[in-house]
Amino acid sequence: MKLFFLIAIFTFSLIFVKNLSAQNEIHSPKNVKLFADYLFCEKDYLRAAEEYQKLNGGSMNDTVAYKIALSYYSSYNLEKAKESLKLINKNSIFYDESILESLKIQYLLNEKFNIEYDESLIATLKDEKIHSAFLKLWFTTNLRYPLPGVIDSEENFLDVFEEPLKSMAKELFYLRYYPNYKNPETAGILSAIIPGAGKFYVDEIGDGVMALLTTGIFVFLSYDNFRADHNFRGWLFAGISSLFYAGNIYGSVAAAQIYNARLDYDFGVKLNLFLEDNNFFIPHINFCK
Amino acid sequence: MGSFNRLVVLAILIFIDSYSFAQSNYESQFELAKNLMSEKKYFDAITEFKRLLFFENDDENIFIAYSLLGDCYKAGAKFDESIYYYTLSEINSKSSGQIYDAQIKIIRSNILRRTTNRALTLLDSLEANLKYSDKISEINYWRGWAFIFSDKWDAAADEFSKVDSAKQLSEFCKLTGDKLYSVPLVKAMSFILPGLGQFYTGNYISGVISLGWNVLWGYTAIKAFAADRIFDGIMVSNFLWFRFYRGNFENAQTFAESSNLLQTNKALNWLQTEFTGLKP
Repeated sequence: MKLFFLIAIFTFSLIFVKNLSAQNEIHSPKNVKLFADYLFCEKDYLRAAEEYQKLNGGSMNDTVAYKIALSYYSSYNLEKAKESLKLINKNSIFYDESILESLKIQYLLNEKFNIEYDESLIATLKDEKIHSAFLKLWFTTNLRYPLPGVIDSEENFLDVFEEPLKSMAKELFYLRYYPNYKNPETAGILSAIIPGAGKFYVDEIGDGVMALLTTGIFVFLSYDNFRADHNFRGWLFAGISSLFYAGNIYGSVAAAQIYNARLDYDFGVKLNLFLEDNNFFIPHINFCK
Repeated sequence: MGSFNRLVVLAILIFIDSYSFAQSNYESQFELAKNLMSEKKYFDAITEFKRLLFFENDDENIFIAYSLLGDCYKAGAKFDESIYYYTLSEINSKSSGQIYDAQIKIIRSNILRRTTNRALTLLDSLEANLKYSDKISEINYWRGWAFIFSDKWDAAADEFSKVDSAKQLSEFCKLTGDKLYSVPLVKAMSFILPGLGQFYTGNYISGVISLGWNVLWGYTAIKAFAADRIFDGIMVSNFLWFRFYRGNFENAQTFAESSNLLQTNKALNWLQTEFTGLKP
Protein backbone atom coordinates (compact mmCIF):
# COMPACT_ATOMS: atom_id res chain seq x y z
CA MET A 1 0.00 0.00 0.00
CA LYS A 2 2.83 2.29 1.00
CA LEU A 3 4.66 1.46 -2.20
CA PHE A 4 1.55 2.02 -4.32
CA PHE A 5 0.99 5.46 -2.73
CA LEU A 6 4.63 6.35 -3.28
CA ILE A 7 4.57 5.40 -6.97
CA ALA A 8 1.33 7.31 -7.44
CA ILE A 9 2.78 10.52 -5.95
CA PHE A 10 5.93 10.23 -8.03
CA THR A 11 4.07 9.51 -11.28
CA PHE A 12 1.67 12.38 -10.64
CA SER A 13 4.61 14.77 -10.03
CA LEU A 14 6.36 13.71 -13.23
CA ILE A 15 3.22 14.09 -15.36
CA PHE A 16 2.50 17.44 -13.76
CA VAL A 17 6.06 18.67 -14.40
CA LYS A 18 5.90 17.49 -18.01
CA ASN A 19 2.61 19.27 -18.63
CA LEU A 20 3.73 22.39 -16.90
CA SER A 21 7.02 22.53 -18.80
CA ALA A 22 5.22 22.20 -22.10
CA GLN A 23 2.81 24.94 -21.06
CA ASN A 24 5.65 27.13 -19.94
CA GLU A 25 7.39 27.05 -23.25
CA ILE A 26 5.58 30.12 -24.44
CA HIS A 27 7.66 30.23 -27.58
CA SER A 28 7.30 26.54 -28.44
CA PRO A 29 5.95 25.88 -31.95
CA LYS A 30 2.67 24.60 -30.54
CA ASN A 31 2.17 27.76 -28.48
CA VAL A 32 3.33 30.03 -31.29
CA LYS A 33 0.63 28.50 -33.46
CA LEU A 34 -1.97 28.87 -30.72
CA PHE A 35 -0.99 32.51 -30.26
CA ALA A 36 -0.97 33.14 -34.02
CA ASP A 37 -4.47 31.65 -34.31
CA TYR A 38 -5.59 33.94 -31.50
CA LEU A 39 -4.11 37.01 -33.24
CA PHE A 40 -5.67 35.93 -36.55
CA CYS A 41 -9.12 35.71 -34.99
CA GLU A 42 -8.56 39.01 -33.18
CA LYS A 43 -7.93 40.49 -36.65
CA ASP A 44 -4.40 41.51 -35.69
CA TYR A 45 -3.33 40.15 -39.05
CA LEU A 46 0.17 41.55 -39.41
CA ARG A 47 1.29 40.05 -36.11
CA ALA A 48 -0.53 36.82 -36.93
CA ALA A 49 1.40 36.55 -40.22
CA GLU A 50 4.70 37.11 -38.44
CA GLU A 51 3.89 34.47 -35.83
CA TYR A 52 2.82 31.92 -38.46
CA GLN A 53 6.05 32.54 -40.31
CA LYS A 54 8.04 31.50 -37.25
CA LEU A 55 6.67 27.99 -37.72
CA ASN A 56 8.73 25.62 -39.76
CA GLY A 57 9.34 21.93 -40.25
CA GLY A 58 6.51 19.81 -38.91
CA SER A 59 4.50 22.78 -37.72
CA MET A 60 4.29 24.33 -41.20
CA ASN A 61 1.50 22.99 -43.37
CA ASP A 62 -0.76 24.24 -46.11
CA THR A 63 -3.34 25.53 -43.60
CA VAL A 64 -0.67 27.72 -42.02
CA ALA A 65 0.59 28.81 -45.46
CA TYR A 66 -2.94 29.77 -46.48
CA LYS A 67 -3.48 31.62 -43.21
CA ILE A 68 -0.23 33.56 -43.78
CA ALA A 69 -1.54 34.63 -47.17
CA LEU A 70 -4.93 35.58 -45.73
CA SER A 71 -3.23 37.53 -42.92
CA TYR A 72 -1.17 39.53 -45.38
CA TYR A 73 -4.16 39.97 -47.66
CA SER A 74 -6.31 41.25 -44.77
CA SER A 75 -3.61 43.69 -43.66
CA TYR A 76 -3.23 44.94 -47.27
CA ASN A 77 0.29 43.57 -47.70
CA LEU A 78 -0.84 42.35 -51.07
CA GLU A 79 2.59 41.62 -52.55
CA LYS A 80 3.48 39.39 -49.62
CA ALA A 81 0.08 37.74 -49.79
CA LYS A 82 0.66 37.00 -53.46
CA GLU A 83 4.03 35.43 -52.70
CA SER A 84 2.55 33.31 -49.92
CA LEU A 85 -0.21 32.01 -52.16
CA LYS A 86 2.36 30.74 -54.64
CA LEU A 87 3.56 28.29 -51.97
CA ILE A 88 0.25 26.42 -52.04
CA ASN A 89 0.54 23.55 -54.46
CA LYS A 90 -2.05 21.84 -56.60
CA ASN A 91 -2.54 18.96 -54.19
CA SER A 92 -3.56 21.22 -51.30
CA ILE A 93 -7.21 21.51 -50.27
CA PHE A 94 -6.64 25.25 -50.35
CA TYR A 95 -5.47 25.32 -53.96
CA ASP A 96 -8.80 26.47 -55.42
CA GLU A 97 -9.11 29.18 -52.79
CA SER A 98 -5.55 30.28 -53.46
CA ILE A 99 -6.28 30.79 -57.17
CA LEU A 100 -9.35 32.85 -56.30
CA GLU A 101 -7.40 34.91 -53.77
CA SER A 102 -4.65 35.53 -56.35
CA LEU A 103 -7.23 36.94 -58.71
CA LYS A 104 -8.59 39.26 -56.01
CA ILE A 105 -5.09 40.45 -55.13
CA GLN A 106 -4.25 41.21 -58.73
CA TYR A 107 -7.41 43.23 -59.05
CA LEU A 108 -6.65 45.16 -55.84
CA LEU A 109 -3.08 45.78 -56.99
CA ASN A 110 -4.47 47.31 -60.18
CA GLU A 111 -2.41 44.79 -62.12
CA LYS A 112 -3.14 43.46 -65.51
CA PHE A 113 -3.97 39.84 -64.96
CA ASN A 114 -1.27 37.37 -65.61
CA ILE A 115 -3.25 34.34 -64.64
CA GLU A 116 -3.66 32.40 -67.82
CA TYR A 117 -7.35 32.17 -68.46
CA ASP A 118 -7.54 28.91 -70.23
CA GLU A 119 -9.34 25.62 -69.98
CA SER A 120 -6.48 24.00 -68.10
CA LEU A 121 -6.69 26.51 -65.23
CA ILE A 122 -10.46 26.24 -65.01
CA ALA A 123 -10.12 22.48 -65.06
CA THR A 124 -7.84 22.56 -62.03
CA LEU A 125 -10.58 24.17 -59.91
CA LYS A 126 -12.41 21.26 -58.36
CA ASP A 127 -14.73 23.04 -55.95
CA GLU A 128 -17.97 23.95 -57.73
CA LYS A 129 -18.62 27.07 -55.61
CA ILE A 130 -15.10 28.42 -56.09
CA HIS A 131 -15.23 27.64 -59.78
CA SER A 132 -18.38 29.74 -60.12
CA ALA A 133 -16.99 32.55 -57.89
CA PHE A 134 -13.78 32.57 -59.92
CA LEU A 135 -15.63 32.97 -63.20
CA LYS A 136 -17.78 35.81 -61.84
CA LEU A 137 -14.79 37.62 -60.43
CA TRP A 138 -12.73 36.97 -63.54
CA PHE A 139 -15.34 38.39 -65.87
CA THR A 140 -16.18 41.34 -63.61
CA THR A 141 -12.54 42.33 -63.14
CA ASN A 142 -12.06 42.04 -66.89
CA LEU A 143 -14.49 44.89 -67.24
CA ARG A 144 -11.89 47.11 -65.62
CA TYR A 145 -8.74 45.61 -67.12
CA PRO A 146 -9.94 43.92 -70.29
CA LEU A 147 -7.88 41.12 -71.74
CA PRO A 148 -8.40 40.25 -75.39
CA GLY A 149 -10.89 37.49 -76.00
CA VAL A 150 -12.31 37.25 -72.48
CA ILE A 151 -15.48 39.31 -72.92
CA ASP A 152 -16.43 39.07 -76.57
CA SER A 153 -20.17 39.63 -76.28
CA GLU A 154 -22.87 40.67 -73.82
CA GLU A 155 -24.26 37.11 -73.70
CA ASN A 156 -20.84 35.64 -73.05
CA PHE A 157 -20.39 38.06 -70.12
CA LEU A 158 -23.85 37.69 -68.58
CA ASP A 159 -23.85 33.89 -68.84
CA VAL A 160 -21.76 33.50 -65.70
CA PHE A 161 -24.18 35.45 -63.51
CA GLU A 162 -27.50 34.32 -62.14
CA GLU A 163 -30.36 36.60 -61.00
CA PRO A 164 -30.34 39.06 -59.25
CA LEU A 165 -26.65 39.56 -60.07
CA LYS A 166 -27.39 39.42 -63.78
CA SER A 167 -29.24 42.75 -63.93
CA MET A 168 -26.48 44.55 -61.96
CA ALA A 169 -23.83 42.95 -64.15
CA LYS A 170 -25.73 44.12 -67.24
CA GLU A 171 -25.73 47.71 -65.98
CA LEU A 172 -21.96 47.52 -65.43
CA PHE A 173 -21.44 46.02 -68.87
CA TYR A 174 -23.30 48.90 -70.53
CA LEU A 175 -21.47 51.51 -68.45
CA ARG A 176 -18.18 49.99 -69.55
CA TYR A 177 -18.82 49.34 -73.24
CA TYR A 178 -21.45 51.95 -74.11
CA PRO A 179 -20.61 54.94 -71.90
CA ASN A 180 -22.54 58.12 -72.58
CA TYR A 181 -19.41 60.27 -73.10
CA LYS A 182 -19.76 63.95 -74.08
CA ASN A 183 -17.51 65.50 -76.69
CA PRO A 184 -15.53 68.47 -75.23
CA GLU A 185 -15.17 70.14 -78.67
CA THR A 186 -18.94 69.99 -79.24
CA ALA A 187 -19.52 71.54 -75.80
CA GLY A 188 -17.08 74.39 -76.63
CA ILE A 189 -18.62 75.11 -80.03
CA LEU A 190 -22.17 75.10 -78.62
CA SER A 191 -21.16 77.62 -75.95
CA ALA A 192 -19.45 79.78 -78.57
CA ILE A 193 -22.72 79.95 -80.56
CA ILE A 194 -25.08 80.41 -77.59
CA PRO A 195 -23.48 81.09 -74.19
CA GLY A 196 -24.46 78.32 -71.80
CA ALA A 197 -25.51 75.83 -74.51
CA GLY A 198 -22.39 73.72 -73.91
CA LYS A 199 -23.35 73.45 -70.26
CA PHE A 200 -26.84 72.31 -71.23
CA TYR A 201 -25.20 69.67 -73.43
CA VAL A 202 -23.31 68.24 -70.42
CA ASP A 203 -26.45 68.28 -68.24
CA GLU A 204 -25.42 71.29 -66.14
CA ILE A 205 -28.69 73.15 -66.62
CA GLY A 206 -28.27 75.61 -63.71
CA ASP A 207 -24.79 76.63 -64.85
CA GLY A 208 -26.06 76.99 -68.44
CA VAL A 209 -28.87 79.34 -67.38
CA MET A 210 -26.48 81.39 -65.23
CA ALA A 211 -23.93 81.66 -68.08
CA LEU A 212 -26.61 82.79 -70.52
CA LEU A 213 -28.02 85.35 -68.08
CA THR A 214 -24.72 86.85 -66.93
CA THR A 215 -23.24 87.09 -70.40
CA GLY A 216 -26.53 88.51 -71.73
CA ILE A 217 -26.85 91.07 -68.93
CA PHE A 218 -23.29 92.38 -69.32
CA VAL A 219 -23.60 92.58 -73.09
CA PHE A 220 -26.81 94.54 -72.62
CA LEU A 221 -25.18 96.82 -70.01
CA SER A 222 -22.30 97.47 -72.35
CA TYR A 223 -24.63 98.27 -75.24
CA ASP A 224 -26.84 100.47 -73.03
CA ASN A 225 -23.89 102.44 -71.66
CA PHE A 226 -22.37 103.00 -75.09
CA ARG A 227 -25.80 104.14 -76.29
CA ALA A 228 -25.97 106.67 -73.42
CA ASP A 229 -22.44 107.89 -74.20
CA HIS A 230 -20.99 106.42 -70.98
CA ASN A 231 -17.97 105.09 -72.80
CA PHE A 232 -15.90 104.10 -69.74
CA ARG A 233 -18.67 101.93 -68.35
CA GLY A 234 -19.44 100.67 -71.84
CA TRP A 235 -15.92 99.36 -72.27
CA LEU A 236 -15.87 98.07 -68.70
CA PHE A 237 -19.00 95.96 -69.22
CA ALA A 238 -17.80 94.90 -72.67
CA GLY A 239 -14.61 93.60 -71.04
CA ILE A 240 -16.54 91.82 -68.32
CA SER A 241 -18.95 90.25 -70.80
CA SER A 242 -16.00 89.09 -72.96
CA LEU A 243 -14.49 87.43 -69.89
CA PHE A 244 -17.78 85.70 -69.12
CA TYR A 245 -18.14 84.61 -72.76
CA ALA A 246 -14.62 83.20 -73.01
CA GLY A 247 -14.82 81.69 -69.54
CA ASN A 248 -18.07 79.97 -70.45
CA ILE A 249 -16.52 78.35 -73.55
CA TYR A 250 -13.54 77.17 -71.52
CA GLY A 251 -15.87 76.04 -68.72
CA SER A 252 -18.02 74.04 -71.12
CA VAL A 253 -15.00 72.16 -72.53
CA ALA A 254 -13.79 71.48 -68.97
CA ALA A 255 -17.30 70.43 -67.90
CA ALA A 256 -17.43 67.85 -70.71
CA GLN A 257 -14.05 66.45 -69.63
CA ILE A 258 -15.19 66.36 -66.02
CA TYR A 259 -18.43 64.68 -67.08
CA ASN A 260 -16.47 61.94 -68.85
CA ALA A 261 -14.07 61.52 -65.93
CA ARG A 262 -17.06 61.27 -63.60
CA LEU A 263 -18.55 58.53 -65.75
CA ASP A 264 -15.31 56.55 -65.49
CA TYR A 265 -15.13 57.20 -61.76
CA ASP A 266 -18.75 56.18 -61.21
CA PHE A 267 -18.12 53.02 -63.16
CA GLY A 268 -15.16 52.19 -60.87
CA VAL A 269 -17.22 52.91 -57.74
CA LYS A 270 -20.15 50.83 -58.98
CA LEU A 271 -17.83 47.98 -59.92
CA ASN A 272 -16.22 48.01 -56.46
CA LEU A 273 -19.63 48.18 -54.78
CA PHE A 274 -20.81 45.27 -56.89
CA LEU A 275 -17.79 43.22 -55.84
CA GLU A 276 -18.06 44.20 -52.17
CA ASP A 277 -21.84 43.96 -51.80
CA ASN A 278 -21.80 40.47 -53.22
CA ASN A 279 -18.96 39.38 -50.94
CA PHE A 280 -16.59 38.68 -53.83
CA PHE A 281 -13.68 39.62 -51.54
CA ILE A 282 -14.66 37.64 -48.45
CA PRO A 283 -12.67 34.39 -48.09
CA HIS A 284 -14.91 31.34 -48.32
CA ILE A 285 -13.34 29.61 -45.32
CA ASN A 286 -13.96 30.98 -41.85
CA PHE A 287 -11.20 29.82 -39.50
CA CYS A 288 -12.63 31.67 -36.49
CA LYS A 289 -16.05 30.11 -36.01
CA MET B 1 14.52 9.59 7.30
CA GLY B 2 12.94 6.54 5.61
CA SER B 3 12.93 5.96 1.86
CA PHE B 4 9.21 6.79 1.72
CA ASN B 5 9.76 10.18 3.29
CA ARG B 6 12.69 10.88 0.97
CA LEU B 7 10.58 10.19 -2.09
CA VAL B 8 7.73 12.37 -0.80
CA VAL B 9 10.21 15.22 -0.25
CA LEU B 10 11.62 14.66 -3.75
CA ALA B 11 8.15 14.79 -5.28
CA ILE B 12 7.37 18.01 -3.42
CA LEU B 13 10.65 19.52 -4.57
CA ILE B 14 9.91 18.63 -8.19
CA PHE B 15 6.46 20.18 -7.84
CA ILE B 16 7.81 23.41 -6.30
CA ASP B 17 10.59 23.60 -8.85
CA SER B 18 8.24 23.19 -11.78
CA TYR B 19 5.86 25.79 -10.38
CA SER B 20 8.64 28.31 -9.88
CA PHE B 21 9.89 27.49 -13.39
CA ALA B 22 6.47 28.47 -14.71
CA GLN B 23 6.61 31.67 -12.73
CA SER B 24 10.09 32.57 -14.00
CA ASN B 25 8.98 31.83 -17.57
CA TYR B 26 6.20 34.41 -17.34
CA GLU B 27 8.48 36.83 -15.56
CA SER B 28 11.09 36.54 -18.31
CA GLN B 29 8.36 37.07 -20.95
CA PHE B 30 7.27 40.17 -19.07
CA GLU B 31 10.87 41.39 -18.93
CA LEU B 32 11.30 40.72 -22.66
CA ALA B 33 8.24 42.83 -23.47
CA LYS B 34 9.34 45.63 -21.16
CA ASN B 35 12.85 45.64 -22.65
CA LEU B 36 11.45 45.91 -26.17
CA MET B 37 9.31 48.78 -25.00
CA SER B 38 12.25 50.59 -23.42
CA GLU B 39 14.14 50.14 -26.71
CA LYS B 40 11.15 51.83 -28.40
CA LYS B 41 10.42 48.72 -30.45
CA TYR B 42 6.74 49.20 -29.85
CA PHE B 43 5.43 46.83 -32.53
CA ASP B 44 7.41 43.92 -31.09
CA ALA B 45 6.65 44.99 -27.53
CA ILE B 46 2.93 44.86 -28.30
CA THR B 47 3.32 41.33 -29.72
CA GLU B 48 5.14 40.15 -26.59
CA PHE B 49 2.67 41.79 -24.20
CA LYS B 50 -0.17 40.18 -26.11
CA ARG B 51 1.61 36.83 -25.95
CA LEU B 52 2.09 37.27 -22.22
CA LEU B 53 -1.56 38.12 -21.71
CA PHE B 54 -2.65 35.20 -23.90
CA PHE B 55 -0.76 32.71 -21.73
CA GLU B 56 -0.79 34.68 -18.48
CA ASN B 57 -2.33 33.15 -15.37
CA ASP B 58 -0.91 35.57 -12.85
CA ASP B 59 -3.47 38.21 -11.85
CA GLU B 60 -0.81 40.55 -10.50
CA ASN B 61 0.71 41.26 -13.91
CA ILE B 62 -2.48 41.69 -15.91
CA PHE B 63 -3.19 45.30 -14.90
CA ILE B 64 0.39 46.39 -15.62
CA ALA B 65 0.60 44.43 -18.88
CA TYR B 66 -2.61 45.97 -20.25
CA SER B 67 -1.48 49.39 -19.11
CA LEU B 68 1.92 49.04 -20.81
CA LEU B 69 0.21 47.66 -23.92
CA GLY B 70 -1.84 50.86 -23.99
CA ASP B 71 1.37 52.89 -23.59
CA CYS B 72 2.92 51.13 -26.61
CA TYR B 73 -0.10 51.87 -28.77
CA LYS B 74 -0.10 55.46 -27.54
CA ALA B 75 3.58 55.82 -28.41
CA GLY B 76 2.65 54.84 -31.98
CA ALA B 77 -0.18 57.42 -31.96
CA LYS B 78 -2.78 54.64 -32.03
CA PHE B 79 -5.02 56.40 -29.53
CA ASP B 80 -8.16 54.30 -30.09
CA GLU B 81 -6.26 51.11 -29.34
CA SER B 82 -4.45 52.68 -26.39
CA ILE B 83 -7.80 53.67 -24.83
CA TYR B 84 -9.10 50.14 -25.42
CA TYR B 85 -6.19 48.59 -23.52
CA TYR B 86 -6.24 51.22 -20.75
CA THR B 87 -9.90 50.35 -20.29
CA LEU B 88 -8.98 46.66 -19.99
CA SER B 89 -6.34 47.61 -17.43
CA GLU B 90 -9.02 49.52 -15.50
CA ILE B 91 -11.29 46.47 -15.60
CA ASN B 92 -8.44 44.35 -14.20
CA SER B 93 -7.37 46.87 -11.55
CA LYS B 94 -7.09 45.77 -7.95
CA SER B 95 -7.27 49.08 -6.10
CA SER B 96 -8.77 52.54 -6.38
CA GLY B 97 -5.25 53.84 -7.08
CA GLN B 98 -4.97 51.61 -10.13
CA ILE B 99 -8.43 52.69 -11.31
CA TYR B 100 -7.34 56.32 -10.99
CA ASP B 101 -4.10 55.67 -12.91
CA ALA B 102 -5.98 53.92 -15.70
CA GLN B 103 -8.55 56.71 -15.88
CA ILE B 104 -5.86 59.38 -16.11
CA LYS B 105 -4.17 57.46 -18.94
CA ILE B 106 -7.51 57.23 -20.76
CA ILE B 107 -7.99 60.97 -20.27
CA ARG B 108 -4.49 61.75 -21.60
CA SER B 109 -5.12 59.66 -24.72
CA ASN B 110 -8.45 61.44 -25.20
CA ILE B 111 -6.68 64.79 -24.95
CA LEU B 112 -4.20 63.77 -27.65
CA ARG B 113 -6.98 62.30 -29.79
CA ARG B 114 -8.72 65.68 -29.39
CA THR B 115 -11.88 64.08 -28.08
CA THR B 116 -11.85 66.89 -25.56
CA ASN B 117 -15.45 66.58 -24.42
CA ARG B 118 -14.85 62.95 -23.44
CA ALA B 119 -11.68 63.94 -21.56
CA LEU B 120 -13.52 66.73 -19.71
CA THR B 121 -16.42 64.42 -18.82
CA LEU B 122 -14.01 61.86 -17.36
CA LEU B 123 -12.16 64.58 -15.45
CA ASP B 124 -15.46 65.86 -14.04
CA SER B 125 -16.42 62.38 -12.87
CA LEU B 126 -13.00 61.93 -11.22
CA GLU B 127 -13.39 65.30 -9.51
CA ALA B 128 -16.83 64.35 -8.25
CA ASN B 129 -15.49 61.12 -6.72
CA LEU B 130 -14.64 61.77 -3.07
CA LYS B 131 -12.01 59.03 -3.13
CA TYR B 132 -9.85 61.29 -5.25
CA SER B 133 -10.31 64.53 -3.34
CA ASP B 134 -6.52 64.68 -2.82
CA LYS B 135 -5.97 64.57 -6.61
CA ILE B 136 -7.78 67.80 -7.47
CA SER B 137 -4.57 69.56 -8.51
CA GLU B 138 -3.70 66.80 -10.96
CA ILE B 139 -7.27 66.76 -12.32
CA ASN B 140 -7.12 70.54 -12.90
CA TYR B 141 -3.72 70.12 -14.55
CA TRP B 142 -5.08 67.68 -17.15
CA ARG B 143 -8.19 69.79 -17.62
CA GLY B 144 -5.84 72.64 -18.54
CA TRP B 145 -4.19 70.44 -21.16
CA ALA B 146 -7.59 69.41 -22.51
CA PHE B 147 -8.38 73.09 -23.03
CA ILE B 148 -5.02 73.66 -24.76
CA PHE B 149 -5.79 70.92 -27.25
CA SER B 150 -9.19 72.44 -27.98
CA ASP B 151 -7.68 75.89 -28.57
CA LYS B 152 -9.18 77.42 -25.42
CA TRP B 153 -6.02 79.05 -24.14
CA ASP B 154 -7.67 81.42 -21.66
CA ALA B 155 -9.65 78.56 -20.08
CA ALA B 156 -6.41 76.55 -19.93
CA ALA B 157 -4.65 79.45 -18.17
CA ASP B 158 -7.46 79.55 -15.58
CA GLU B 159 -7.16 75.82 -14.87
CA PHE B 160 -3.36 75.91 -14.57
CA SER B 161 -3.57 78.91 -12.23
CA LYS B 162 -5.33 76.59 -9.73
CA VAL B 163 -2.26 74.32 -9.67
CA ASP B 164 0.73 75.57 -7.67
CA SER B 165 3.30 73.77 -9.81
CA ALA B 166 1.81 74.99 -13.10
CA LYS B 167 2.04 78.78 -12.73
CA GLN B 168 4.54 79.03 -15.58
CA LEU B 169 2.21 77.06 -17.83
CA SER B 170 -0.70 79.29 -16.83
CA GLU B 171 1.31 82.39 -17.76
CA PHE B 172 2.33 80.86 -21.07
CA CYS B 173 -1.29 80.01 -21.96
CA LYS B 174 -2.40 83.51 -21.03
CA LEU B 175 0.28 85.04 -23.26
CA THR B 176 -0.70 82.76 -26.14
CA GLY B 177 -4.38 83.58 -25.65
CA ASP B 178 -3.57 87.31 -25.71
CA LYS B 179 -1.80 86.94 -29.06
CA LEU B 180 -4.87 85.45 -30.75
CA TYR B 181 -7.29 87.60 -32.75
CA SER B 182 -11.00 87.45 -32.15
CA VAL B 183 -12.29 86.23 -35.51
CA PRO B 184 -15.85 87.68 -35.13
CA LEU B 185 -14.33 91.06 -34.17
CA VAL B 186 -12.03 91.11 -37.23
CA LYS B 187 -14.94 90.15 -39.46
CA ALA B 188 -17.15 92.84 -37.95
CA MET B 189 -14.44 95.48 -38.48
CA SER B 190 -14.26 94.69 -42.19
CA PHE B 191 -18.02 94.62 -42.28
CA ILE B 192 -18.15 98.21 -41.01
CA LEU B 193 -15.23 99.57 -43.03
CA PRO B 194 -13.79 97.42 -45.86
CA GLY B 195 -10.10 96.71 -45.29
CA LEU B 196 -10.15 97.57 -41.56
CA GLY B 197 -9.95 93.92 -40.46
CA GLN B 198 -6.96 93.39 -42.75
CA PHE B 199 -5.25 96.47 -41.23
CA TYR B 200 -5.96 95.16 -37.73
CA THR B 201 -4.31 91.82 -38.54
CA GLY B 202 -1.28 93.60 -40.08
CA ASN B 203 -2.09 92.93 -43.75
CA TYR B 204 -1.89 96.56 -44.90
CA ILE B 205 -1.55 96.04 -48.69
CA SER B 206 -4.50 93.69 -48.74
CA GLY B 207 -6.47 96.21 -46.67
CA VAL B 208 -5.73 99.06 -49.12
CA ILE B 209 -6.64 96.89 -52.13
CA SER B 210 -9.86 95.76 -50.49
CA LEU B 211 -10.81 99.34 -49.63
CA GLY B 212 -9.92 100.45 -53.19
CA TRP B 213 -12.14 97.88 -54.89
CA ASN B 214 -15.08 98.68 -52.65
CA VAL B 215 -14.71 102.44 -53.17
CA LEU B 216 -14.50 101.98 -56.96
CA TRP B 217 -17.57 99.74 -57.30
CA GLY B 218 -19.51 101.59 -54.62
CA TYR B 219 -18.88 104.86 -56.42
CA THR B 220 -19.86 103.36 -59.81
CA ALA B 221 -23.07 101.86 -58.42
CA ILE B 222 -24.11 105.01 -56.54
CA LYS B 223 -23.39 107.16 -59.55
CA ALA B 224 -25.60 104.91 -61.70
CA PHE B 225 -28.45 105.14 -59.16
CA ALA B 226 -27.99 108.93 -58.97
CA ALA B 227 -28.35 109.14 -62.76
CA ASP B 228 -31.58 107.09 -62.53
CA ARG B 229 -29.92 104.15 -64.32
CA ILE B 230 -31.51 101.73 -61.83
CA PHE B 231 -30.86 98.48 -63.72
CA ASP B 232 -27.28 99.54 -64.28
CA GLY B 233 -26.87 100.28 -60.57
CA ILE B 234 -28.42 96.98 -59.46
CA MET B 235 -26.15 94.98 -61.77
CA VAL B 236 -22.97 96.76 -60.64
CA SER B 237 -23.98 96.45 -57.00
CA ASN B 238 -24.89 92.79 -57.28
CA PHE B 239 -22.13 91.49 -59.52
CA LEU B 240 -19.26 93.78 -58.50
CA TRP B 241 -19.66 95.81 -55.33
CA PHE B 242 -21.33 93.15 -53.14
CA ARG B 243 -18.98 90.51 -54.48
CA PHE B 244 -15.95 92.56 -53.39
CA TYR B 245 -17.64 93.59 -50.14
CA ARG B 246 -18.31 89.98 -49.19
CA GLY B 247 -14.81 88.95 -50.33
CA ASN B 248 -13.41 91.70 -48.10
CA PHE B 249 -14.73 90.38 -44.80
CA GLU B 250 -14.17 86.74 -45.73
CA ASN B 251 -10.58 87.69 -46.54
CA ALA B 252 -10.22 89.39 -43.14
CA GLN B 253 -11.58 86.26 -41.47
CA THR B 254 -9.02 84.09 -43.32
CA PHE B 255 -6.18 86.37 -42.19
CA ALA B 256 -7.31 86.21 -38.57
CA GLU B 257 -7.71 82.41 -38.66
CA SER B 258 -4.34 81.76 -40.29
CA SER B 259 -2.59 84.13 -37.89
CA ASN B 260 -4.24 82.32 -34.95
CA LEU B 261 -3.20 78.97 -36.38
CA LEU B 262 0.38 80.17 -36.67
CA GLN B 263 0.40 81.34 -33.05
CA THR B 264 -1.15 78.15 -31.66
CA ASN B 265 1.21 75.97 -33.69
CA LYS B 266 4.15 77.97 -32.32
CA ALA B 267 2.85 77.51 -28.80
CA LEU B 268 2.23 73.78 -29.27
CA ASN B 269 5.69 73.39 -30.76
CA TRP B 270 7.21 75.07 -27.71
CA LEU B 271 5.22 72.81 -25.42
CA GLN B 272 6.35 69.75 -27.35
CA THR B 273 10.03 70.59 -27.60
CA GLU B 274 10.89 72.96 -24.73
CA PHE B 275 8.42 72.32 -21.95
CA THR B 276 9.84 69.77 -19.52
CA GLY B 277 6.83 69.15 -17.28
CA LEU B 278 4.24 66.38 -17.61
CA LYS B 279 2.50 66.28 -20.99
CA PRO B 280 -0.44 64.21 -22.21
